[in-house]
Amino acid sequence: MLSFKRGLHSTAVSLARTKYTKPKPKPKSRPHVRPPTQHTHHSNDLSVTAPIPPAAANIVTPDDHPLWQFFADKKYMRKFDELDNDSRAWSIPELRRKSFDDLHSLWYTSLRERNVLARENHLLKNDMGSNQDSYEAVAEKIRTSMWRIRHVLSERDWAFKKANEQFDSHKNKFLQEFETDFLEAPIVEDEECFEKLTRLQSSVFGISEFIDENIVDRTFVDGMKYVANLKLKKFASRSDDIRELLEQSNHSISDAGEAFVVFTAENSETAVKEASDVVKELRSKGNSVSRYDELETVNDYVKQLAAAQVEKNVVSGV
Amino acid sequence: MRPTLANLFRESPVSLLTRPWKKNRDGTLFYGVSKSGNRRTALTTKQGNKTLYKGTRSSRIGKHTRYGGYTINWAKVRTFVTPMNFNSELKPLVSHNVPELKHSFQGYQKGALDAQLYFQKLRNYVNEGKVQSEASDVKCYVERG
Amino acid sequence: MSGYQHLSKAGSRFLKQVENRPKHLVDHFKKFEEKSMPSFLVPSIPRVEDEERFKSVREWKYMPGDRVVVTKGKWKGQVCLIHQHDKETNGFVLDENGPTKTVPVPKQFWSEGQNSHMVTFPMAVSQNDVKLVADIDDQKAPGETKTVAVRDIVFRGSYYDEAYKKLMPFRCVSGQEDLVIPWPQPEKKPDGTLATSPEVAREQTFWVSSIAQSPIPQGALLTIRNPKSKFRRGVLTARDIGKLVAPKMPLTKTKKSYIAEKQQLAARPKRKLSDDERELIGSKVFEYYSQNA
Repeated sequence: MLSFKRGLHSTAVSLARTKYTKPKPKPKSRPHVRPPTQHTHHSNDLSVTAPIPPAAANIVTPDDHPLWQFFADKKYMRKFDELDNDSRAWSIPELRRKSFDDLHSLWYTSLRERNVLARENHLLKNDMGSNQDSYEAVAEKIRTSMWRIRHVLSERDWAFKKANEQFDSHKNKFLQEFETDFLEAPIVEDEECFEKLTRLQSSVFGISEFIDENIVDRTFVDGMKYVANLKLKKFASRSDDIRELLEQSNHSISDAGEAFVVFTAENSETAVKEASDVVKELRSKGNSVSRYDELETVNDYVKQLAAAQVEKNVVSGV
Repeated sequence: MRPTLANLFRESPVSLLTRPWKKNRDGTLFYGVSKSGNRRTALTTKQGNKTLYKGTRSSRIGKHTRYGGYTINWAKVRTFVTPMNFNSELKPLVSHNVPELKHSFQGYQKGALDAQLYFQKLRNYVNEGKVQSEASDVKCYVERG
Repeated sequence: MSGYQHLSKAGSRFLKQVENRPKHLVDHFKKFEEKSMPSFLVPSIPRVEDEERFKSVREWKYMPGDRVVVTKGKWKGQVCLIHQHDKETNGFVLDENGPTKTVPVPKQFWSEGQNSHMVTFPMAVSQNDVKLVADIDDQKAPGETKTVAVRDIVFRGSYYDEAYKKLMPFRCVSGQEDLVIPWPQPEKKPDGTLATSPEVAREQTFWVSSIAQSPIPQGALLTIRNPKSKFRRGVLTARDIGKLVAPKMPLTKTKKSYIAEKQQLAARPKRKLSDDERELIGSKVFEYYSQNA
């Protein structure tokens, strides 16, 4: 910003430097000049070189320059026969089989390829004045893939919502079928059966294998009770103690505290038997969780268990 | 009067090459229907002189400050979320050497949105886990879905 | 000429209108186009509209690799191989035995290595001007085949073709449908640069795995569907309808009395003619007619 001092109309003329004006005296030499406190490489390296002419050959572009993402193989423009004219767009049934992460990756790759094609198309139309549609044709196929991805995601969501609405009436049948299969399976298939049970608890009740990932709500508690009962029933035929417990509690346990003990037990006969002993002890002491405080109590239990696991991991890690 | 020679009616290579009798400004021959183009289409955002501002009906992404600067409101800027687990093997198109897969949804009237189909798939998942279906075979061209 | 038209849809509606030419002017425009177009750009058979272009195999009838015989024009009788489809004219581009034309090409359109103005191009042939040539078993000499031209073909049924990677119809000889002419083997090409490899494309990575949790994250859903769209209206419940429909107004006094009167009138017993009255009417009528007769 220029700053102006105010003056008379003659001031400028009288102050102007002419050949008669005396030059300002030189400042006195200063003997104690403080040297610069910092030294940079500029003080040593900088030197005057010959001017560099502005030519394309003199410009160095780094290989990882982000704008290279708009170029295919670092070419100014691909030729028409270098384009991929044979491949087709993804079909909807093919996309239905891809996970969300895959679809997201695919959408992103498509978008980036469309950027390249749009740049080339623009050069062709604008710079060369051509009316060829070769780049646009490929871009259009990619665009088709992209809307199909969005369609598949939307369809997946609708399918989930519609199934969820009808699941209430279907749930009992679904669980009943699973229970018969689960209980009838021979001892040899125990491992497989419990893998199935893990999948079932996550798919129907949303219970994760890792205890600390869970959010305790009504479905969690219901699922926990269901799984605990199934475990007891599975081992009831093999151990008298467990059968006894089941018969005492009218073939299903409904107390959340007891269910939690059985639910968190390992999937083996001895572990479940130990759990059943704990349950019996709880009963003898008269410990029970009221249905109204279930959620809070179970939430506390889950937190305690998660904390204990963390502690155990830390100890074993050290 | 002598009749015109038949040869003169025949098109010579030169007359064929200079067919539309029009030239571009640089002197090269013009091959096209009309040179004037179409003057009745609406202007795009890139046309017109400096006084023509034709926006794209998109909102601004921030606001001007009092001192001639501009503050960007990042909530208004279009962002593209990068995939969490990027799968670089997937390309935007599919090889022409794979048949286009079709889903028949046999036995399920509402197709992809059928709730019974959803339950069946869930049942299969619980019983078998993540097992590749028959369409994972490259030669398969129709599947239940 | 503006180099920005491809960036915007501005004026596209008008351009669409321009393409819909009135019927009586179609020929006129075509003539003008042909007149102004240099000979090296003029196709040998007329271009077809976008809607009329062949799309399916059934429409094309013959595929690249088929042998055909030309049945019309200067090249009548030549047996050629189909080189490719000419999509703009619905024609077939044949090999070097087929029809060609030699036309002058200006220098600005020269291809690499060209040193003369005159260039020979293959001319496209329309579907009506070719017939399929096939080898069939010779009935007179068993074990040998003879080459025949097929007058016409018909399509019956379909099967999955491994080479074309899609469902293809059986190509039968018209009039003798037990004779099936197989499709030619298409040229094999490697995967393109943008193509996902077959195994990766077909790998399954999604399973329906939960009814408790949505298969896609909520944030992603908002970008593919607008939950507040004005086109997605809710469903009216009986309560809503009850609120929206106006109640019936009570009747006025006059209206009530009017209805009561109507009902009273309707309730009156209908009078029936007695036998005596009928007799009387009959006699009167008889009297009248006998007087006038």
